[in-house]
Amino acid sequence: MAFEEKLLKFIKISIIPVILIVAGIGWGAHQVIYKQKSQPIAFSHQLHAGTRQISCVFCHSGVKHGTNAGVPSVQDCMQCHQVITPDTQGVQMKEEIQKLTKDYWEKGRQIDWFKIYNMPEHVRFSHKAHVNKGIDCKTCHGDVSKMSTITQARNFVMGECVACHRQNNAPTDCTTCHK
Amino acid sequence: MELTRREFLKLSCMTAATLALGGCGLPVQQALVSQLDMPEYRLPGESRWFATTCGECSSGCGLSVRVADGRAKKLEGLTLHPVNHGKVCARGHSSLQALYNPDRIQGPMKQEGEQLSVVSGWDEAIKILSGQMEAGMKKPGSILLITESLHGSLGALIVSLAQRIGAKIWVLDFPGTYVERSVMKEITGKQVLPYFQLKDADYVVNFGSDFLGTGNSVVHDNWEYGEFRQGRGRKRGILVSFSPRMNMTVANSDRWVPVSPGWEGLVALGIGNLLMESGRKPKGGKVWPQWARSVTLDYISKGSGVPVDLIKRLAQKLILADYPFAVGGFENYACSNGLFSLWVIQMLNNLLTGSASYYEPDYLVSLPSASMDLKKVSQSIFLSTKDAVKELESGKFKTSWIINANPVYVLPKKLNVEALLRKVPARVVFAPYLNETTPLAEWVLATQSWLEEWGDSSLSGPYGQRDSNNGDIKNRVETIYGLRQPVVEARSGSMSVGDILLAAITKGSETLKKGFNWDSMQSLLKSRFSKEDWDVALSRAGVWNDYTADWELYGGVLPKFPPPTVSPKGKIPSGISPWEHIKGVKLTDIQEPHFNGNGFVLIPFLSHALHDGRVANRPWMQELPDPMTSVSWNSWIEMHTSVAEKLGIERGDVVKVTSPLGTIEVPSFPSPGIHPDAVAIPVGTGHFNYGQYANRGVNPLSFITPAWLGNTGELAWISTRVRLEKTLNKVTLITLDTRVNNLHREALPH
Repeated sequence: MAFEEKLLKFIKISIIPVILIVAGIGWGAHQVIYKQKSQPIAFSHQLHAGTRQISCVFCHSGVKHGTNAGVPSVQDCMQCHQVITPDTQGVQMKEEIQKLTKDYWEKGRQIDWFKIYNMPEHVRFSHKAHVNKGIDCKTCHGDVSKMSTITQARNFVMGECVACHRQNNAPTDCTTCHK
Repeated sequence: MELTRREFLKLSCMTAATLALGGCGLPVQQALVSQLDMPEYRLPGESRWFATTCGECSSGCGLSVRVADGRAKKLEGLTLHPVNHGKVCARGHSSLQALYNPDRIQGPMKQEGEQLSVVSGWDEAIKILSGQMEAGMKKPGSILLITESLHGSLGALIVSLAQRIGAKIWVLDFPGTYVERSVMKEITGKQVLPYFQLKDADYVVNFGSDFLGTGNSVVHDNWEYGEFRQGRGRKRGILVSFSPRMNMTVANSDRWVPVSPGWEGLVALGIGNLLMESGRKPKGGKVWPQWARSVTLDYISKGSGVPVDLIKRLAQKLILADYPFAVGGFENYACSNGLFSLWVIQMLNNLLTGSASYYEPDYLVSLPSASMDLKKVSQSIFLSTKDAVKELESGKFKTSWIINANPVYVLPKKLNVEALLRKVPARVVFAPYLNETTPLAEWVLATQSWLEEWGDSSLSGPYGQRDSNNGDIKNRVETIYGLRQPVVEARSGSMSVGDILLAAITKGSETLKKGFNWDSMQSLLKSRFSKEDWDVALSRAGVWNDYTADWELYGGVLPKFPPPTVSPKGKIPSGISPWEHIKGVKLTDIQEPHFNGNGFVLIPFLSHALHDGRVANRPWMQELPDPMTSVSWNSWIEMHTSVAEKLGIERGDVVKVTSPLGTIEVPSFPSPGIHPDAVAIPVGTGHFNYGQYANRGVNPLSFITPAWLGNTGELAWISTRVRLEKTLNKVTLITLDTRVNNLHREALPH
């Protein structure tokens, strides 16, 4: 068999497995990047925002006043969980509350969360500007009260942002978001 | 089947496109951190700035610290602060590394066997301290307190407590300010520090000072120097330096005159004699001493190495100058005749300008309690180094507290201080890191960085203010009360010195507690102010008179230190000096310098970067190149190039340096910038128990021969001669310059 024939045969045999492998790697990366795979504590928005109906702003207090929504401090969590402990009757997710108390609060450690929503460095996004214009959290983040683990609700490509700005008569000048 | 080129290209592109699928659109992964505790006013990812007063030294610079997400990020100067005018020194900038140093002690440590172990909580330590205070009250004179320089409310607290419990206080600072204060007591009647009023001068003679690099108030002196050189409304200032070594100030001078070590004062004497011969009458109240007039220029020239001609020319320049000024410094007053030298220099100022400018950065701020009158504190509680060592040898102390001091590192081994301290039954060290002194402690109490604690300072001096309308600088004595606030949450396990002492006092008997009406430094400081005044004082890092105050400078005589006064924004607390026990100097004859041993005079100079060694555990300071040699991360010994040539020594050759008390080995740095009779090694290196960054280099202070400065009871640091011997070893010194020796002009390749 001539070399070219062998090469062509090899390519034909291997092309589909290669595509599948690469797709698998891509999917896996997507899972890692966009899904809550390894959070230090398996915090459930469904339980807190859904079942307990805690407002978004109660924890993410930075949204109305600043660029970043932020996450609550460990002390903020302990405001409730010094009362709602693993020994509380009917409490769910006891192991996670135990982790919060024993591994973080009592040891004086901060919690390093896995960030789901990552904006590229060349984009400047201000929560304050959007929230104070009446944009609801669900618009971008989806209904987190139905998510036990957070996933990215929308694909934040530039076209999405620009389309929404156009619909709502917000500035579409480049320097609005690219400083 | 044939694979055509087109088919091959199609297949390749499909494969490439497939491979590229996985890589598109992945954003940069960022962190999302829940702080342990974050106050309501802090917004995530956004910065807040806090005004505070620097605690690195007693200069009292006003700073603004940027804090984001509970982390201090950057320090800058407060623009309108009369001390630093918006500037910060390198040491100030590096205090972030003191705050976040990985070698910080995690909590109070207790000696268990041979080891020090962190204990949980402060209760036991506070109880022990309280017990020691009670024991001290029953047996006055049994507690020795070794501390860095005292100032502000903390200084007042320590002094008042020492008075209550009968403790003795040994203020241990390298190089210390005793000599300057002793001389100024004689000249002005007060134990203050000389103020370098450079901004008004047009001709300055510097005798051995490095006020641009390592002076008492470096940032302010640099600002004054800038004004001096810019010469607003008058001619640009000229600076001439007499010194055995080229330091940063000397390098910035218009002329460096190398002088034999310790002879600067005698050169000043010669200049003074010439001024008197010219018919100049002293502008101030002091009389030029008769015994000085018999000293001949030939004698001075022979001893100092300065040509007679040059001394005469300089005297002439001073006569013609409008505002000449003389400055003395470490390389002059640290010799055995330092008192004499500095006294002559101040007498020269008396002759030239009639005034001895002075300032005081170390006021103790009176405690806001009717029963705590600092003026009633007996000055006999203060010990000089000589007296402290003597009393340690007598075995009278039962307890020693060492507060932010490192006597084992900074004192010559010959004094045997480590062994003497070990004999004291109870030993407590207050420190944020383990150091050379902590191994002898029974308790090491983890203290805080100044960025985490409440504190204050009180300074007074002719700092001057620039009129924002016309840019003029008006001389005026400023009393500045600097307030320090925590800019970040304190590291868990640490407490400030003031809070530790107050907590221990609170646990004690009514007799101990009487008058100490506060449970924390914050409450102590706050109790001086109304709520409105407190908020304003915090926002500007303290209180001082605004430019519109109606004081004036009367002719050449400075007004008395102002009494407490009401500024537009609140009351400035009054202060007293902790130095009133220092006696003035009485001189009846000239004094030549004296050095022990044979060989070259060893100058252990204050390192521009590492100071006295306390900041050696900060990488930023270790990597800061020395201004003269550009060496970093190491020790070196400077010697004149002619000496090096004679001994066959090149840069980097390890040299054995032998004093009457020991030997060290250190890499050499031949330089034309040092007198041939002298060698110099920077202080601040040579730690052996100070964390992962500082344990490098050699400590020249360990093997100098202790000599006492007159009747001060303090050490003359430049008192030793050493011999040099080349070894077979060589190291590569890390420097910023090239490896080319510019003296031989091999700089450029062909």
